[in-house]
Amino acid sequence: MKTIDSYRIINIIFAGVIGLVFIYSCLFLPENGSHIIPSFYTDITGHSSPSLGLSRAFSALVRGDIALANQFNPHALNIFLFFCFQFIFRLISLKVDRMSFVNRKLWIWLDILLSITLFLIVFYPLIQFTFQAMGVVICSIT
Amino acid sequence: MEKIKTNAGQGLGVAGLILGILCLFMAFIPCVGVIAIGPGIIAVVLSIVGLVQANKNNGAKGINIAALIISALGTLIACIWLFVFVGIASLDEDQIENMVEDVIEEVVRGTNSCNTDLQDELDDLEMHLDSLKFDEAIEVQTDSVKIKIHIEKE
Repeated sequence: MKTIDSYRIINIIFAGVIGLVFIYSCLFLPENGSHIIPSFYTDITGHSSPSLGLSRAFSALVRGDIALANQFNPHALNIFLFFCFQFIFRLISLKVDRMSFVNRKLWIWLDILLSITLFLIVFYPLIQFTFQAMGVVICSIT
Repeated sequence: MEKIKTNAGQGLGVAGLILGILCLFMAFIPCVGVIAIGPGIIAVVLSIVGLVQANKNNGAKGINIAALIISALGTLIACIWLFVFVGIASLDEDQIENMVEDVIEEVVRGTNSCNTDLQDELDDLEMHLDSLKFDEAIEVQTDSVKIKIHIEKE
């Protein structure tokens, strides 16, 4: 029976998805605001959220304009660096079988722990906003 | 006799895990969080089917269980956004404004201590301004312009 290397498939797909995010950011200019991903939160409430301007900030960051990216979204730089790290880590992980000095199981555990920790650190303002918004709506209804 | 491990359900588990992780990422982005319900539900279904197949044919269950947990968490958070939007739809305009201001203020206070200091300074300044006594009008005169400001206290 043909065996499936799950870790390799996951790495290829995530590297592809992150690559598509970078290509999407390159396709649109940060200033003209023609990005196709809408902000449902702003559309419904009419107010801004911590993720507003993330696409424009990413477009600015792939062009190296950190100051402009900070104006669009203050959290964008951290999130962008997280995506860069993940992209590089996925590419390195594809070659993990060829690295004789690396224990594969240990590498996967390191990947899981590092990814979860960095995700929690980088997405903390968005996670906090999600739970606070929920809490406030519950309080308003009850 | 020990049963031979098969690949049953592994492909579905991988698909479920990938969709589940993407769903979890999207769910924590307020702008698009509600869209994560779609991939989340697909991921849950794939994981469950994969788990059933793995159980029947002695496949590896670990990846299916991980996929199920992650996708269920992502779907739950996406449902929270749906709940928030439905809740917001039932509020009037003033309540929405107050709610959003409360949340943004809490996030700003929580994430940046400098902003907290700035907010305290602004509160102090507002108190000082309230305690100041002005005449009814202030006049500012330059070479070419004369500005007269009438002050009315609320």
